[in-house]
Amino acid sequence: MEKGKISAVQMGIIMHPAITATAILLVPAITAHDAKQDMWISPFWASLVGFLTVYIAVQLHNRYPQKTVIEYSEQIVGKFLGKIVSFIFLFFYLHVTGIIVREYGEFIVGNFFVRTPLIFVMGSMIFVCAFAVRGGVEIIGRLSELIVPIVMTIILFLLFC
Amino acid sequence: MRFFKKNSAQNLHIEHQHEQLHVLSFDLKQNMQVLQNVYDNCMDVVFHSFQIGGTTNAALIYIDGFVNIEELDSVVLPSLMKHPFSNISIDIDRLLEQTLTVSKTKKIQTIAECIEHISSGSAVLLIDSQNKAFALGISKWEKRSIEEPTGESTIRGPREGFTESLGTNLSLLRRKIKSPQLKMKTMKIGTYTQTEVAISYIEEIASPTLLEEVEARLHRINIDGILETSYIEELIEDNPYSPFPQVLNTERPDVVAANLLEGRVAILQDGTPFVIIVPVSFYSLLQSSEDYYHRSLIGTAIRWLRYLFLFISLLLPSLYVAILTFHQEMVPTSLLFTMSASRELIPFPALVEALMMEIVFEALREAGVRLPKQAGAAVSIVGALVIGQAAVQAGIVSAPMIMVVALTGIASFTIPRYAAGIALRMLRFPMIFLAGSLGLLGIMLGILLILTHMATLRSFGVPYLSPIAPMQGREMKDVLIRVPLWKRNTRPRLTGTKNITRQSPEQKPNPLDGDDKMEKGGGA
Repeated sequence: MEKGKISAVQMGIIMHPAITATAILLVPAITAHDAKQDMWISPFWASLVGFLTVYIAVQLHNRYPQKTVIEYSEQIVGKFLGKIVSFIFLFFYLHVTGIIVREYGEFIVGNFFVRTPLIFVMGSMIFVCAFAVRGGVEIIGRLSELIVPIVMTIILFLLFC
Repeated sequence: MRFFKKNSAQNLHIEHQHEQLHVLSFDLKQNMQVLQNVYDNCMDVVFHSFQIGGTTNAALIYIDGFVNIEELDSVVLPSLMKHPFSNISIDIDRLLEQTLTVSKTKKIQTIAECIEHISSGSAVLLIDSQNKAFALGISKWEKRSIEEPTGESTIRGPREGFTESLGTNLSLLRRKIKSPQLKMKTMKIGTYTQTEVAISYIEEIASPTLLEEVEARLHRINIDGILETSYIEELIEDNPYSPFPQVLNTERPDVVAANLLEGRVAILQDGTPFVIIVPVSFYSLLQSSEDYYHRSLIGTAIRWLRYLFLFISLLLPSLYVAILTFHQEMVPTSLLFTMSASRELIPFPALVEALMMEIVFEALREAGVRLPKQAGAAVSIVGALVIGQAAVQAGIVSAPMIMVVALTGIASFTIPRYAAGIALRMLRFPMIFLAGSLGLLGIMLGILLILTHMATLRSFGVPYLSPIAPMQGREMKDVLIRVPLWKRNTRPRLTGTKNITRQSPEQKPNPLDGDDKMEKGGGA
């Protein structure tokens, strides 16, 4: 395991685009289906859940500083259950990554490359991601710092112009 | 290969030891014999025997054309030959103090030292029945005078450039930074070339760990010869396979001085006007010394222009190919009509067209650099025809393609550092391929790959994309804008942490602060 160090700001910037992509590409379509013209309220309700999650995460961190989720889950619910929780966590990350890649692939194929196989679009992106992962977590942090501000500027530009 | 290297290194070691053993003997003839054997078949080495004061045998050994013969003949030799020595055994220290009219003398005791000094342009004086010799530093050789650096011309700024002589270069640097804090350490690299290399830094500013690292990397070099600082560059850089330059090379003393003042280390080499500076970030490769000589607003504007053209030089042809091949809907309809009309008779797909023209452009550029000056005009005329109206009329390329290629060509020359510009120019070709096969998606993938690669790069511990990634808000003053000098109070954090304060703050010129002499003077 490579021991890279990233700052809190970098961590935040890394997490941001992962959420933004889903929030822009998928969520509006789903909420609009049920909420129709009142869709604008849904983010406010949804954010409450988000704040609760962050609150729990922070509290857990304060109680078990310098430890990862996997380490303290064993302490909280015991060895056997802890292992199951850790497994679920790891599986969750795998799952989420899969979802994000699929989202991306479907978006590209659905909108631009109608006749391109999905596997190729997703595969090429995974290749680029693998190249970044090979560089380590520091590289991903730096890349996010470089790319996310540009992407955010473009999104804001599209929103307000 | 490995065996070879080890073997030669061993040989060298033995040879070196062998020479060390040869301490100068008391017998002049024996010393001469040893040196004559060493310089066997070297017709440029002169062995001149004479007598000091008409009694004591002595010899001068030097390389013809490497020492100042006039000085030797008119000053050194007469003072020695006419010296009234009565007894045979000369007090060697008295000779040094009273007779030799050369200020740069050195007492030496071994054959190896003799060889070293002869090779570096000193005349070595051997005296009979003395086991010591003198190296007289009266070297003088033909060198180019200080000229304006052609590779980095500026409109405003000093017009002097480094030359091939290390001594001249060091003095040019010393003339810029007069403080004794400017240090210069020399070492020799190259088993055969024995090239003198100087590491220059400012003691109070440069970080000692950086200096250690530079020295360690230089000491690790074991090579038969270095002819240009690019040899050193290639042997000490962090990522040898990257297309991007990881050191800054310049032939301008003012650039070196500015970088030394920011805590960087310069490596100078005898025999080349190019000095390399480490560590470096990608943004410093996009800065020209002239940014600082212009007004700050102008400097900022020029810097942004350069960033824009950086993207154009990397992306314009591939964007054109991608849009024309896959995303025609992005082009305004009326423009699309004219573009398709111009492409109607072209038999090639846009990808082939773009590759062809870009390669031709690169060939013309390369030819323009290599060709003798007399043929240059011919090449530019033919080049204008090839990338021009004739090519369009011949039905080989379309007119918009010509524009794209020409614009890209101009864009790549707005990057002030040739090494950075050529890296981007070469990366353009894989980008064109990606654009031709995957469209805009391919371009995005390409950009991500390049950015990832750049983010992994480090130059002597400094991340290549710093200060943007990792982000350092305060350092943006020299990236996004060119701050006015009176606001540039701190040195860049990545290299200048040892001594962060550059100047006293609050130096913003404000005429109202002082007395209003100016105003009164103006009125009178």
